[in-house]
Amino acid sequence: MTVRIWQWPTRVVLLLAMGLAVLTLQATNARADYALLEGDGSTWSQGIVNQWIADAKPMGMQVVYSGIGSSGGRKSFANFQDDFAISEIPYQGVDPITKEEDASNIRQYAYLPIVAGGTSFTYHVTQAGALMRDVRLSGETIAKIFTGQITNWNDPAIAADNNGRTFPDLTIRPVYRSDGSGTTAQFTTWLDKQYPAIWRTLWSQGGLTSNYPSFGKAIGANGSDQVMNTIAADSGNGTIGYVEYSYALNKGYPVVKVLNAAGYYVEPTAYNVAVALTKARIDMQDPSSLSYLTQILDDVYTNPDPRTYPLSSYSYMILPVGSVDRRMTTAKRQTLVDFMTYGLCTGQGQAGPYGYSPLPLNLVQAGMTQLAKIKAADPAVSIDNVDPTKCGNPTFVAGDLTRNHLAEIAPQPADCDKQGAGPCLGGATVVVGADGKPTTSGAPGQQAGASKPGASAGASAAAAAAGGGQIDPETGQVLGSGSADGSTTASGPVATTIAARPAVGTTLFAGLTALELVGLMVVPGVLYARTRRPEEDVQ
Amino acid sequence: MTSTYVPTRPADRLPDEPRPVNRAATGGDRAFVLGSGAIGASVLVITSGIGLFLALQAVPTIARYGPTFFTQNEWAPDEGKVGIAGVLLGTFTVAVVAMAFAFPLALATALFISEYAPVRLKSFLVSMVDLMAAVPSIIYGLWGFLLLQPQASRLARWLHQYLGWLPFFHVDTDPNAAQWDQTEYTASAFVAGIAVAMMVLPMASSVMREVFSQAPAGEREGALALGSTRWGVIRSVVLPFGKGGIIGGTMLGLGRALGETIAVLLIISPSFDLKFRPLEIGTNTVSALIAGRFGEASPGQLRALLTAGFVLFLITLVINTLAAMVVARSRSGAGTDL
Amino acid sequence: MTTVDLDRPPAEDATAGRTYVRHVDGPRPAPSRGRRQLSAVTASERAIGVGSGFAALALAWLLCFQLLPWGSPLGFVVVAFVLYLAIVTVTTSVVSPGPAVADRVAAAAITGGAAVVAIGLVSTIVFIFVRAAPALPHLSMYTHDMAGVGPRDPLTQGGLLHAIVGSVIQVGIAIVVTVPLALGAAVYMTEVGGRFARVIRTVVEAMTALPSIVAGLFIYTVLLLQLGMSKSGFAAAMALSVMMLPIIARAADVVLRVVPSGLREASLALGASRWRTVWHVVLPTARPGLATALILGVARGVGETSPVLLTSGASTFLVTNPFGQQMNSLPLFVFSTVRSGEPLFIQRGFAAAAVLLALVLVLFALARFLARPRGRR
Repeated sequence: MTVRIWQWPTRVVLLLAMGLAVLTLQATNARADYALLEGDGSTWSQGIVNQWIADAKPMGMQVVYSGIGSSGGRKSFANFQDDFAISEIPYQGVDPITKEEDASNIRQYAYLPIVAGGTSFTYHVTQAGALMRDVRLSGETIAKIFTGQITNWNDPAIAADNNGRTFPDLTIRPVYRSDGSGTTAQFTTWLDKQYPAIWRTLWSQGGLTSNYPSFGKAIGANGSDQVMNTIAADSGNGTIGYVEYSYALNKGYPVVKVLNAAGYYVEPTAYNVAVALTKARIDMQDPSSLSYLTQILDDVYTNPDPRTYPLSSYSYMILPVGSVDRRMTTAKRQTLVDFMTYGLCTGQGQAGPYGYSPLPLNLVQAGMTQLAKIKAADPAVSIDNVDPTKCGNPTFVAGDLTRNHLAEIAPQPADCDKQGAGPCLGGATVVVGADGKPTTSGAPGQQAGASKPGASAGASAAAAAAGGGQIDPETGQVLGSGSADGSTTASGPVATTIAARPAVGTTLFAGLTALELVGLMVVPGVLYARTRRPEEDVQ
Repeated sequence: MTSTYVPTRPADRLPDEPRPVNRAATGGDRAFVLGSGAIGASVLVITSGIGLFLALQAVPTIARYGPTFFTQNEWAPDEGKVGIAGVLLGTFTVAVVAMAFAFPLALATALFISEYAPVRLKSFLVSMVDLMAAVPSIIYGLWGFLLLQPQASRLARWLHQYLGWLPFFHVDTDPNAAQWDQTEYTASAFVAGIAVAMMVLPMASSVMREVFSQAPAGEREGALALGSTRWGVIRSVVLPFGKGGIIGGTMLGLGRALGETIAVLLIISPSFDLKFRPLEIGTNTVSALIAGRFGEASPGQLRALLTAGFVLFLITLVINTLAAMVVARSRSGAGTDL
Repeated sequence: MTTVDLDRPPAEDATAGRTYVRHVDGPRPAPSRGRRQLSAVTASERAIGVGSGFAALALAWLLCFQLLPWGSPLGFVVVAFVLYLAIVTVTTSVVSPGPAVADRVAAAAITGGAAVVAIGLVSTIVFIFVRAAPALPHLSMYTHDMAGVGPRDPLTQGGLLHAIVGSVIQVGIAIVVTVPLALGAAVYMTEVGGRFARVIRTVVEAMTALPSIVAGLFIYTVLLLQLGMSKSGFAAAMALSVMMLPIIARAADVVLRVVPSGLREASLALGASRWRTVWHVVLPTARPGLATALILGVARGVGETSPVLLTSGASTFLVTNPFGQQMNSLPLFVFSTVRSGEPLFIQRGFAAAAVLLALVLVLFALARFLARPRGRR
């Protein structure tokens, strides 16, 4: 009896142990001269880093990356909890008001540019039952929307940006990131640099913040995916929010064209962002200052190239460059160098499909200079492959570093995107493919099938013709011939308001009727049940 | 004449005195008491270790912000204004909404499975309730956001239309407009509370069901023999017996409702004002605040967040102590007879 | 034999030595009442139920779609249910006495409540499986890990093996650590009792309200920062134990309390020590309930992301050593993929959620089977 009781569990345990042993044999090991790399940090960069990790696996490198947020990554790095960290903003030092410290005091580090991207604004405005597309906004309008100064879509400032296009009478509900986010930090940096007077009505102490403040009719959502879900929901009519470009692409939602310094409205495509970042500078002035090696984007915001997307920025990898670092071995440093060499070069080709932008030559060269510091810290590390001339980055020609390949291949914006002209409706967008060649896809917001080489060159859908004379009786809008993507005609609808149903009146009448009906059914039975004589219980 | 012989023991000439009885455990019993006491003490050490960890964070925070920490409802550490009043109110609003939905549904489910379900289906239904408890909370968060929110916002609008004269059913919009502002009813404590209720009710229901199935068969049969209906048996035997289990299950569920993080985080739009209107957009809870902010928090801000967690822990302690006093008086709380 | 009219009895001496018995006719056959109805539900009651249902549906349709602006499916169902309760109360009270009416209404209300819960559960399960449907049929999903597979690679590549193994290992360690502690504490709270036990009970109960993020931060600070351990599956298992321990202890306490004290007293009266009483009488009696307690704890632990995110990273390759290396687990995999915004990744995430449900279903079925009451063994 005693033996039988214990047989069952013993068998189960033995089976599990054998299964584990079999599985352990399957577990893969890193190559002998590479070691496991552990990193964490920004979720903004997570998409492309995951792709690089997958690409690095056949080369023998094993990397693990967890997206816990930029600040979490910086803290982890300072606490020796990871081998590298990725962050949108550099260490902030000591906050003057709260005296809190955000620094890595013991561990030596350097900043390496990882991948670039533009802060894109996606929106959900329905007009005549269809999603409005091709909305253009200037930076000032965006700043006023996101500080609560413009509250309705039919505001004259928005109409002026869109060259007189009519918008419905709809409350604007801005959606912001409620969690601490590097995307917010990039957006508020731009706001503070370009429109400080408007921004500081909301954030009085000035400067950037990772936690966007609440205001007016704004809605907070946790994470870019929830921002996108809030905007895309049926109840999201009238919302506008800032997300990474890939989220809007994947959901098929339109993205705002932002006015640049040359007077053109452009989208945050890979090429527009890359062109903008040719003007990015690295702070090389004072090695002892905290902003040493961080990005200076002031010239990016005001880049006069007509293809510039103003809100462009890139994220950093925080590299351990100390020669005495309790986590880093030679094998780990070699893995890090080779991983980031791949990332800076061939890996940038993956940036476009994921909604990022490949780094231009100036940033790649700066990055390689930082990688050389690892060799300075540990001579056993080989940096033979760290060479721009051997680099497969799609923004420059590997063999000839004098030509500005980017300027040659990035397409110019259309004439109807110029301030005072257009607006372009139902036009084509340009997306960079995996092989670096720009291709036209269909209407904006469609996901480019460009992960395969030789991407399709879809014909651009023509703008819908200004419609014939049919007027929809209910809403007073002109019914045009719908284009391929359902965008509206250039002549906008007449906004009509529908009167609210009176609260009292018909509802009261209907309620009384309902009550009477129910009473008619129920009251006779109740009366009968109460007045009948108690009878013998029927079986 | 008869005589009765009463044998006496030789030593028994002493006057009548009570025998001294030693109640202390000896031998194996003593080992059992000490051993289980050691395990209980270690559990206490672990759990109060967490409480101590939180308390250690609380001391510098309260020292820095003072008693305004409990009265301030803004959370703006960059401006030096940190307070948990709004957040605590939001936590309790969400928990109350969740328990208002979960308690009757859990009770109904437990009674259905233990009393009304066909015997063949019982184990299947029990597994289904267990499955409901095991769904990851992120899935409930997404389900709540994508599937539940449209329906719940309509229900909130109905409540506002017909019961809006009650102050806590009021929302700052016109419910009778032809194009009613649906967004104003989303991302609220109401929607989050319903999603949390879905997570809480399998836990409470399982505990209640376990207790109901232990109701003494003799009393059930006695009630039936006296001619009561099924509901009569439930009302007179099962529910009074199960009061301790009902309260225990509800407390377990309330604990989960107060501490639920991810689902609330995904649904709500955080706002820090003192919100007495669960139907309106905007609320915040302690767990959602910690989870949303700890990534970008500096050490001082992290301490403030954990202090909020500590306050929540203390309040839960008080509520549970009160509930325990009620449970101890009920039959399933104080030990039962055959 | 002579018959005597006992109403006018004869003189005393005439009856001396004789016993007179009143003559009674034999038993009359009982009047025929037809077959006795043994079942609780008669045909007329069934008819009442069905009729009330139809009436409620029709009236609800009239109210919701014709009279009042409540024309949504949710409104219709709610109004129909409320009307059903009202109508069935009235119709039952016409034919049956009071207790039957209360029974009917209570049965309808309880069944309605259970139906609401069933609808919620079914919608959640369907939600998961519909979104996971493209990813589930591939066999590689269960036999490969995600090493070398990027977010845009097709669903035929890569799989969940590393997450499944990670979850099993982490939950296994957590169970091994938690169950003895929780059971011991519960036994102490119910069997020994006293003031110290009340203190333990109060504190443990308050811990069930611990936000999962705080449990993660606690383990992160104590194990990873203070003790210098690195992120690993073991640290994640410790974070899960911290969350599971109070729930298992509290649920076990509730369940052990309902063991009839008569059983305990009988065992003690027969001379068993307290330990033997607990081991041979109390625990086996409460075994199904203890399985429930374990299941509740595991259900809480297996679905939480935040503690695992902090203490163990999200690796893409299979790791079986819980010490020293970052491990992935199913809820963490769900969290990192479903929130990424890439459509194929999202499908993988929902597939991981579906696999998690299947895994816990198997685990729970096993636990209930192993713990079924004594009579059936």
